Amino acid sequence: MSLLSVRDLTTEFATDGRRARVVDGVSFDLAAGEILGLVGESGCGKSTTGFSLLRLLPPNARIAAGEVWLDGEDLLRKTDEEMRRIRGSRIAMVFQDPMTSLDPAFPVGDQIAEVLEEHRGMGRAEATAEAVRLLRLVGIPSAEARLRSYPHEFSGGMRQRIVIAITLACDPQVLIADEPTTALDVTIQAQILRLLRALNTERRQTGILLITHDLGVVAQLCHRVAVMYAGEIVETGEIEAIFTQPAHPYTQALLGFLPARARGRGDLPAIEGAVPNPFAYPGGCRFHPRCGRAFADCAEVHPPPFPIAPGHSASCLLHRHA
Amino acid sequence: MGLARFLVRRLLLTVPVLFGMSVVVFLLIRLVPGDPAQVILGLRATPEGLAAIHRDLGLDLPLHRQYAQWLTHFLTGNMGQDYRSHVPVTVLLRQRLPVTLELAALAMLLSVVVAIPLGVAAAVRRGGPADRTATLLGLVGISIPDFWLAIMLILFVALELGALPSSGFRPAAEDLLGNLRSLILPAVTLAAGLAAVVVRMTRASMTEVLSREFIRFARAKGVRERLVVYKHALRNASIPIITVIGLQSGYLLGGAVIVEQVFDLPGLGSLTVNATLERNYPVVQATALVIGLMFVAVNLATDVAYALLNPRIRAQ
Amino acid sequence: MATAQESLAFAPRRRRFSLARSRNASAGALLAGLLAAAALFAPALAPADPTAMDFQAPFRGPSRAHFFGTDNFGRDIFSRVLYGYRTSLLVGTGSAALAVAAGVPLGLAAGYVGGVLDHIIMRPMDALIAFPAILLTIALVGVMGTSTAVLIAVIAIVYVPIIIRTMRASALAVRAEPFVEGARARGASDLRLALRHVLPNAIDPVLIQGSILMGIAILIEAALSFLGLGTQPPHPSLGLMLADGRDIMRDAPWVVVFPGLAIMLAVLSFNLLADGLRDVLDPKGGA
Repeated sequence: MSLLSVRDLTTEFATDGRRARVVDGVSFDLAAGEILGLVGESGCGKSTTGFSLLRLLPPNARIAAGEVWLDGEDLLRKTDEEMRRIRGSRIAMVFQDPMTSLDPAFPVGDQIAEVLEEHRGMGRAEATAEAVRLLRLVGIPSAEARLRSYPHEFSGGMRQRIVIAITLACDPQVLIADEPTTALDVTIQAQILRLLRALNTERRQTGILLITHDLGVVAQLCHRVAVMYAGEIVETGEIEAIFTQPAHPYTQALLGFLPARARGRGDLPAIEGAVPNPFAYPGGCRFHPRCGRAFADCAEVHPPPFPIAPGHSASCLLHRHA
Repeated sequence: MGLARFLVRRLLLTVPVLFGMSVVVFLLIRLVPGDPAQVILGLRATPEGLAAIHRDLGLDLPLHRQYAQWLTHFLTGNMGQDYRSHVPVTVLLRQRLPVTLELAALAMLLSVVVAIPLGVAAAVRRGGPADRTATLLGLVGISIPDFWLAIMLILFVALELGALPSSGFRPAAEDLLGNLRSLILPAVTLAAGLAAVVVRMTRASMTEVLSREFIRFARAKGVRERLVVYKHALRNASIPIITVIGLQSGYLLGGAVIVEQVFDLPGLGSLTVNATLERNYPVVQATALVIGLMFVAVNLATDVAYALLNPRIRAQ
Repeated sequence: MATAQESLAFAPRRRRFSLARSRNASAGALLAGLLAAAALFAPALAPADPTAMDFQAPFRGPSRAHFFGTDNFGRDIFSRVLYGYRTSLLVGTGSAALAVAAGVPLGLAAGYVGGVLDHIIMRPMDALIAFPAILLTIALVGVMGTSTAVLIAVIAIVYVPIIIRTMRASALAVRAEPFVEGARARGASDLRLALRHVLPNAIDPVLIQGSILMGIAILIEAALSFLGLGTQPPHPSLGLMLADGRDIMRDAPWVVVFPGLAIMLAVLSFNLLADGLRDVLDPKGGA
């Protein structure tokens, strides 16, 4: 049984009386020790998926349907207080921009200790000692001295390490990393990715959901990939399968522009046409207006996931009879 | 350290301001049309009296010597005397100052205790009942004339209900409860304007901070909502709030001038007004300078608080 | 590229000035306009002579005949409020206009020319601003005498530092804009740059401050008149009415309730107008 099991997750935004299903019936599984990449262009709903799992949505958004099973418990049925206790202890999240994730008014040691006091009932002294250990773990030099430093006294890469230290503080079962390297320099990106991989090999029990638009990052880090388009997951599979035999035309388009040898820095290539507006998705397959292989049915029939191979499926009518 | 350097620089910056203030107050009496001594003594003027005042104020000397003499006297605690009662001004100040300070402190406490939680609640639940109350208080509070609010409170709370005294003052040393009772209505009056400004600033500042990413991260950490709002958000929102409280404390000192007069409280404010009405210029000069000094001191304290709260300034 | 430069250099003054876009601004402007009209046409609108005593009808409560009731001399409060507004608005517009007229050139000079001139203008302002405004007003009125003209001058003096500071800060910001550089490169003189390019683009915050100042001036006029340091009888003033009414307010609360409400309404209208102007002119907030 998987650690995290998301079923038909649907998140709606309401603006000016109109509703948009930014996340529309998303399902996926994440096993302990696994790194799953959630990939897509910006605006496809991948970050909203991450925030929905934590139930941390802006006031104009709500989870309209679905189930989020963590270790046999449906998080969507928890009370607010129960959910708060789960956040930061059993599911933690690394945000995109380390420059804005930390509270500028408190020393970083305080911000790490806060999680330990909140979830593990530690006293100040014990929490501080543990904070030092965590800072060492993520590779902050002279950790003890830097506990009292403020966020603005650290570089972006160091801040992201501190953010990761905070998220690891309570040994979470699931770690959501939302574009954890996008805001950083290339060399720092590589360091943070190495850190995440090292942590993953050390602690086999944590499942990581890596949200990114960077296929290079996915190739380096992930075991499995889910490709998201217009609020839906259109293809999932093992990393090798997706990169060598992508089944969905959207995935193929994403990969077709990726130079085979230079996978280091693979921002998603531009695909002709615009990302659909969540207030007005196209009928049938949502990708059909931009799809080079679309045929008549594509505008009419909304494709469910079709199995391609064990562990590999794609929501495309091309695979209807496969 | 950085903080010490900041404080020294800030202190040095107040020197020219203090100099300028002393010049303004010094020149005040020279703006009097005609002979100030004549105006001060009015019908009681005698040649001897006029000569004495001329000597006191140094009116025979050239202007810069007058200023030097006046400033020396002032700094050595010789602020002249009340020409009616012949009481030294320093004695008057010592009697009056504590009343004004107590009134201002009570008003500040009252407005902060009401306005900050209200502003926070308004920002947390935009459009809710707290937000509507805050908006109303913010608009009415800055528009309501304080002396009229005082009159309304006297009329409806003191006279109609008989709940509180309508005027007068009881020293705390004699009767603590009576002291508080005599200051409640004046403090409420004075607090209204400050509360309006503080509630507006708290709401605006908290709204801005609550939309910041580190607040969402704090929630993602599973921090209790109370701590998210009152520790992380309020701490970051506090700098503009404290700044506005500091700046508006001048309003408290100024407002006290009027409120004391309405409620007949023996503070610096009513002293200033009565001295002005009686053309008792040495007293006007002294109270203006003392209130001005307190204003500068509060602004200084505001900047220090700003530095203490803002790690970035502290680090410089 | 050249066209982009060109369009920057000629950046026309974008007047997105539309009061209708802000509910506060339109409410404030409408209210202020109504009050101004009431003051202006007081002789036509007032049902009675504000000074006419009627010993047959003292202490009358609000009624059809006397909207706001009558005082101990039987004078019609409503008529007196209308005439009181004349003084309020005279002092409000007079002192705000004076402060803006003096503060804009000084602030523009301090901000645009800078250097020694900046210090010469700003240091005395620092000293003036170091006093609580109402205190300085009282002290100045105390020595300069009590009359409406003096009151206008004194309020203008006390608040001119704020106008100067606002104008200076705004001029400093606009001076650094590329279109000013562009005009300079085309050989515009300093005077022309300051008056034609910087001033029109830097004036918005001053308008907002000016509107706030109108409200403040109305409050100060009322407060000082209430203390006996402002408008002197027999001139009509809302503050004076409150001072007179205190002695009889237990028997006739309307003599203090309505003039006070009238002051509040006037101040409220200018505060609303300022809030609205800020929304319309300065969408980024601040000021």
